[in-house]
Amino acid sequence: MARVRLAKKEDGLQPPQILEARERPPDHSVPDGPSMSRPIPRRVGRPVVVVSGCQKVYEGKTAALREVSMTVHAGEWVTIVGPSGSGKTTLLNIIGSLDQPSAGQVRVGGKDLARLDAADLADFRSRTVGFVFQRYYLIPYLSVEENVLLAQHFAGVDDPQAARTILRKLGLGHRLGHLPHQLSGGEQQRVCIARAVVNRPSVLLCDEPTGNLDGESSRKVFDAFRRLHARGTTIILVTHQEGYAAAGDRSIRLVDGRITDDGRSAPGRDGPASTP
Amino acid sequence: MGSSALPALAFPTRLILRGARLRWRRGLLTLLTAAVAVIPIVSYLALSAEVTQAIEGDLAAFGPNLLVIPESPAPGVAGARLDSRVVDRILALPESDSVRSWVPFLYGTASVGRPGTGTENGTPVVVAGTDFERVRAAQPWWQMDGRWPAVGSTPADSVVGEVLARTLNLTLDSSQSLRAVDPTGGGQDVPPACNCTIRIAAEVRTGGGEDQLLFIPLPLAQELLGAPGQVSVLQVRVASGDRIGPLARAIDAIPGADVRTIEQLVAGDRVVLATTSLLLLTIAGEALVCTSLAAVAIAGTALAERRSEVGLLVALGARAPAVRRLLGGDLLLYGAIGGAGGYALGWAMAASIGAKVFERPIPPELLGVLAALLIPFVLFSLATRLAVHRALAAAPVEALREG
Repeated sequence: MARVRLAKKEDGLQPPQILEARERPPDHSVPDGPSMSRPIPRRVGRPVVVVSGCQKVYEGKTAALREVSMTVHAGEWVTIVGPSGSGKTTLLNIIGSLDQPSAGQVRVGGKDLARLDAADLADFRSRTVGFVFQRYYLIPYLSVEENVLLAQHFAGVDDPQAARTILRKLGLGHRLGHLPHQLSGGEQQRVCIARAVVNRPSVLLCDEPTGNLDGESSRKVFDAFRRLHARGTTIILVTHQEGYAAAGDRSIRLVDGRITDDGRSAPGRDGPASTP
Repeated sequence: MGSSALPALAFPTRLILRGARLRWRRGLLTLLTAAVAVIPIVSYLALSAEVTQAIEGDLAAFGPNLLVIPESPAPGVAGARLDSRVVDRILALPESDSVRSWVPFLYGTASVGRPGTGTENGTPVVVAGTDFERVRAAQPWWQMDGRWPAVGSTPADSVVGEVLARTLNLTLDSSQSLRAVDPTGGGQDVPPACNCTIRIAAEVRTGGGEDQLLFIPLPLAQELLGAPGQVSVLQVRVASGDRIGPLARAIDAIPGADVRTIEQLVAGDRVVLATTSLLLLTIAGEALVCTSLAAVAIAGTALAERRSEVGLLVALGARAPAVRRLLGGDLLLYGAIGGAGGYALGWAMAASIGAKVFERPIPPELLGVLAALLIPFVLFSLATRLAVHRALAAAPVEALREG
């Protein structure tokens, strides 16, 4: 299990203490076999996401993030919780370069996102991070398989077999040629997960991935995350559902744009499978 | 099952085709816009190319557009003639490269009669010495009964105007003797009689003054009229209207030569052609402006409706060219179809105008094909580029949020 430390504003960005370094690249293929009901204790490695002094002020001077600093290590599963409007999604979007901070620095995979040009940002989005959206954002006129291939296309990869394999392991082998509207919400979210991991990103960014799903679908989605995490995928998951805070290695609480808690999750966590 | 698989096509092509099939209503609007842009331009190109060429040909058939005459108020009168050296100087002018054809004429008066019948001192007629080969090339409207005169024949082959032939009963293949006479009847000196025997090779009908003339070979006329190396007039055909002025000024500067332009007919036809061309060009320009605005609006609306798709593509790592290709591809596809349809309609319109206004068929024009291909491509490429540029100016999350 990782030991983490909140980077204090007055301290500036502090290099995290790495207790057990592990430098092997993550394996994003979804493993076969029975799903785990709880995460395997992880041996975490180098910092992969470093946010320091990040602020986001929208027009109208609404501050969504205030001096947020955090570090996520390779192989770690961090759950960001907080009430609606606390800045969770904004923080996730900034980490994924879908939005820009008003101030502060964000480094992902060793790259300062503010210094990347348009081409580098495109490479970053296609290879370094994978997004799982609450609203799925599947292209309605493309089949399940083609929606996943779209992500491969932008990464310059043409490997339909890999896409099919991932979809089969996520239980969608019989849905490859279906259009998104022919799938249930849980299935669409799993397609979104397949699209997010097909390019083997360093970090999987999940924004309320079960926000629109029922309990059974949520469990299947979390099973997929657990299997990915077990293979070394770094996961940052945003949710407003407090019951899911314990699903990862660590939970960070955001309130009104500030981190109020950044600590290890309580033992015995097992995510939605045990939530009431 | 959902969409049909298109395994043979590259992934972006499949995406574009699926999008095009899904948005066929907007596609129809795109198609229509492209067609409207292409129709007047194709018509203009077809008409301006074909009709200009044809009218130039017609104008050539109308005859000379320059007359070169001696510096004298009484052209054609003995003593007021162009010397061969003046003619040589005219033909040597740099501006003469625009001369398509020229024909010399030497006019005089002679009596005509049958040899050995005592009718040699018959009715005076106006004879015109000329070069029949040049006449044949430059004055195609001459309608001839008989055969074209052979060069150097003995007796000399000649052509008689229809009216004169009827008046003097000059029949084809008959031989006639000529003798110069004083056209005033006032006892002026006339050249000594020459052994001028001709044979009527043809009868000409033009509907003009030529019908009352007797055309004989130029060398014979020069001998008959005692005007060696001289001509009364040069009829000159200049290839294009805008070259008439410079050549006329150059000829005017030569001592002994005067020039008259025959531009009324030319100018009239040119005005018709220029007006028609300007009208088509104006319509084409206005259509292009309107359709450009329509293309920008179509692309802007299409991108606005697909805002979340733009955000998603960017979130997945698409660069601007890929976004343009994928989201503007269906517009280009429909634009190409519209361009093809516009070409067909534009050509049909040109053919209709050609038949009704200029009374000539309009063949398909290669330049029109290129225009039909290029205009929709450029129009919708630029419109898509503009729309995508706007869409990408904002952070991807905004596109995803607003979509």
